Amino acid sequence: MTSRIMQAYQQAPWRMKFRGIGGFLIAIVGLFLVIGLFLSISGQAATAGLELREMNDERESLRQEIASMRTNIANITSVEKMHARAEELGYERVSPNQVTFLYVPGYSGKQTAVLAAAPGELNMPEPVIKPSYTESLWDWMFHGLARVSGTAGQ
Amino acid sequence: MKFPVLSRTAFLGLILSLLGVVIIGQMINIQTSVVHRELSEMADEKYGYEVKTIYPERGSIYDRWGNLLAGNKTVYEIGLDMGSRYHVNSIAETFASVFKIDPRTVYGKVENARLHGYSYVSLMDYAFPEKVNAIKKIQSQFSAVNPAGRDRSAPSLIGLLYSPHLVRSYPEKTLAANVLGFFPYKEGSSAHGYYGVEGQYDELLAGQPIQLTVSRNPYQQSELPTTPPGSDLVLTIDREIQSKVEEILDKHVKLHGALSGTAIVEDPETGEILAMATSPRIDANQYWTASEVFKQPTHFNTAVGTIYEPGSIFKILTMASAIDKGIIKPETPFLDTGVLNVDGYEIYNWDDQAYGPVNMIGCMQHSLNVCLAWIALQLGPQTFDEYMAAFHIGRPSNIDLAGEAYLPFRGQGDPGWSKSTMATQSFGQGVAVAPVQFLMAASALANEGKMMAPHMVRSIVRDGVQYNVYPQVVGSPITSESAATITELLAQSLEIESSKALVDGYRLAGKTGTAEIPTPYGYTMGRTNASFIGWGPAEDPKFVVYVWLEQPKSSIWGSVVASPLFRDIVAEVVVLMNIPPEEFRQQLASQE
Repeated sequence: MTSRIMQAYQQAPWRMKFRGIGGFLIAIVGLFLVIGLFLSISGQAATAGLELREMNDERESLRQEIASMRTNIANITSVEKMHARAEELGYERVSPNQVTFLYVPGYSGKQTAVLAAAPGELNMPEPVIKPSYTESLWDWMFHGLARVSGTAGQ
Repeated sequence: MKFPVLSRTAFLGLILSLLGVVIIGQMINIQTSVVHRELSEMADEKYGYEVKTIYPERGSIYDRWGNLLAGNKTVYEIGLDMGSRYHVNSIAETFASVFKIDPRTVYGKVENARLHGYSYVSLMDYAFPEKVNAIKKIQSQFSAVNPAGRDRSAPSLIGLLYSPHLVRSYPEKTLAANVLGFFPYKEGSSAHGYYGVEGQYDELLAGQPIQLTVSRNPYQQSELPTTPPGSDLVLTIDREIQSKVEEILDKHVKLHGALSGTAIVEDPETGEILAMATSPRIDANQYWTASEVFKQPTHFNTAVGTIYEPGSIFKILTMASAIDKGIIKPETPFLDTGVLNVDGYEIYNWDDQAYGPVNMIGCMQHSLNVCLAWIALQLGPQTFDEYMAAFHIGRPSNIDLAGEAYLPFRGQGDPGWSKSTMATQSFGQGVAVAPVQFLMAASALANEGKMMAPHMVRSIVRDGVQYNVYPQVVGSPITSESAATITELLAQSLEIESSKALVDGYRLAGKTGTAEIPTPYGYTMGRTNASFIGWGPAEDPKFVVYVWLEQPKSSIWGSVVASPLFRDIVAEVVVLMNIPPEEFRQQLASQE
C-alpha cells in the first residue's frame, strides 16, 4: 500500500507541491485565527476599560446630581418660600391668642430627625456581585453539583 | 538572460520573506531595544497615568427635624478646547450677554492660551446651571446654521466644554447664617469652614480626600474606589423657631435703632439651643459680604463671639448664690439708703434714688445695685468667687461653635482687685460674658440647679450610622430648692413690677438689664446694652430666652426695649413648642 502511494507521488510531483502549499495555507489560516482571536479579545478588553471609565464618570455625575437635587428641594421648601406659598393659598398666620390646645393621650410630639441607623442597629448589606464571579472554578462546580443534586432530590 | 517562471516566483517569495523578517526583526527590536524601552517608559510616565484627587462631598447640615440648612449644588466650569475650530468673537459676545461681563475678558484669556500653546483654557467657573443652559441653547441655535464651525463668517460656539462640580449652598439663605458659618468654596481645594458649625466641624464635614494614580491605558482600567462623603450634622436648632426669632429680633433692632441684636432660645433640661439669632446677618451663599457687614470678625455671631458687661441681669446669679448659701431668703428685709460705701468707693442705685425698706423681691423688682452689693459683701469675696466659678463665669461655655470669646473673671487676689470690684460685679459691672456663657449659668436656675452644656449639634451621621450627642451636666452650682426659690422670687418680682416681659397665660421668671458701656475714660453716658433673661413656665421651665440689644436709641432702658423683645419671642415660642397656658395645664393636672 505504502509503495503504491509513493509511486503515485513520483508519477505526479504536483501533488507534493499541493501538499506543501496546503500545509503552508493551514499554518497561515491558523495564525490569522490566533491573531483574530487576540484582536477580538483585546478590543473587548479596551471597550470594557473605556466603559468602566465612563461608568466611573457617570457615577460621579449622578452623585453630584443627587446632591444638587437635594439642595433644590430644600430651596423649594425653605421657610421663606413655604410661608409665601401658604399666603398665596389663603392661609393666615395664627396669633398666639388664637391657638387652642388639645390634649391627645399617647401622643409624644413630633420626632426629631433620624437620618440613619443607630450604632448596633446596622445590618450588613447583601453583596451585590454574584458568587459565580468571585468563587473558584472548583467551588463553582462543587456548588453547582450540590444545587443540581439538591433539586433532583426534591 | 531569461529567468524561468518558477524562479521569478521564488525570487518574489524571497523578497516578501525578507520583508517579513525585517518587520518581525523591527518588532522584536522595538520590544527589546533600550532606547525604545526608555521612550516607552517616558511616555507611560508622562501620558500613561494621571494623579487624581477625589474630594468627598461635603457633609450636609440639617435642623432638628431634618430640614436641610447647608448642602451642595452643581455649578459648571466652562472652558475652551484650543484645538477646536473655535470662534472667539461669538464666544466673547455670548458670554458678555449671558454673564454680563466685559467681552475683553474672554479675548484676553483665549489670546493668552493661544500664545502659550495651551490645549484648554477656563473661561468661567461657578456658572449656575440656568446660565449654562442658556449658553447651550445658543450653541445649538448656532450649530443648526454652522454645524462644524467651518463657516468663519457665521457665529459658532464650537469648542466650549462644560465641567460640573459641587459647591456649598445654603438653601435658607440668611436663616441661622450666624450659627452655620460659611464655606468659602471659591478658594478651591484649600478652602476651610469659617465661623459657626462650618468652622467648628470643618474636618468632619470635609471628610477624607483620597489621591489615586489612574491609568489612561484602557486595558488597565479598574473601578475607582468610592469616597465616603463628609459627615452630616443634625443641629438642635428648630427651623421654625429660628425663623420666628430672627423675624422678631430684626423688627426690634430696627424699631429701637440698635447697633445689633442677639436672641437665644435654649431648652434648660438638655442645653439644646433651639434658636440663636443675631442681627445683622449675611446670606452665607454670598459669604464675601461678611467683611462689609461686620466691622469686626467677633460680630459674625455676637451670641458667642462678643463679650460685654451684662449689667443687672447678672444680679440673678448673686441673688441665687446668697439664697443657696442660706444668707438670705426672699422675705429678708433690707433698708435701702441709696448709697453704699465699699472701701471708700460709693455705690449708687441706677436712678440714684433710695427705696427705703424692701425685701429681696423688692431688691430685684427695683433692680437695686446697693442691695446686691450688700448681698455680695454678706457672701464675702471667697464665697462670691467660688459661686462665680461654679457658674463658669469667666470661662468659655465650650459650645460647639467656632470663635467663642471669653474674659477671665477677676476675683480676689487678681491684680487690681478690691472689695469694690466684687461689689460692682454683683450687679454686672466689672465682669464680661458672651451671651451664651451667661445663658449657660442662668440655665442652672431654670433646671433644678443643674447647669447643662449648651450645644448645637444633636447628631452626627457618619458611614450610614447616626451618633447622637447626649446632654451633659456641666455642674450644679446651686441646689434644686435654691433654684426653685430664685425662680419664684423672680416670677413674683416680674408680676409686681407688671413687667412688659409678661405673656398672658404663662408664668415667667426673669430679669432686665441695662448696662452702661465701659470705655478707657469710664462708663458712657446715654449708650447702653439692654438685656433680658427669663424662663418659663415658672413651675417647670421648658425654655430659657436671652435677648440683648446693643446701644438702642429709642430708649436706653432694658425694661423698655429688651422686655418687649423677650415677650414677643416667648409668645411665639410657647406656641411653636406646644406649651399650653397655665390654666390649661392646671385643668389637665386636676383631671389626672
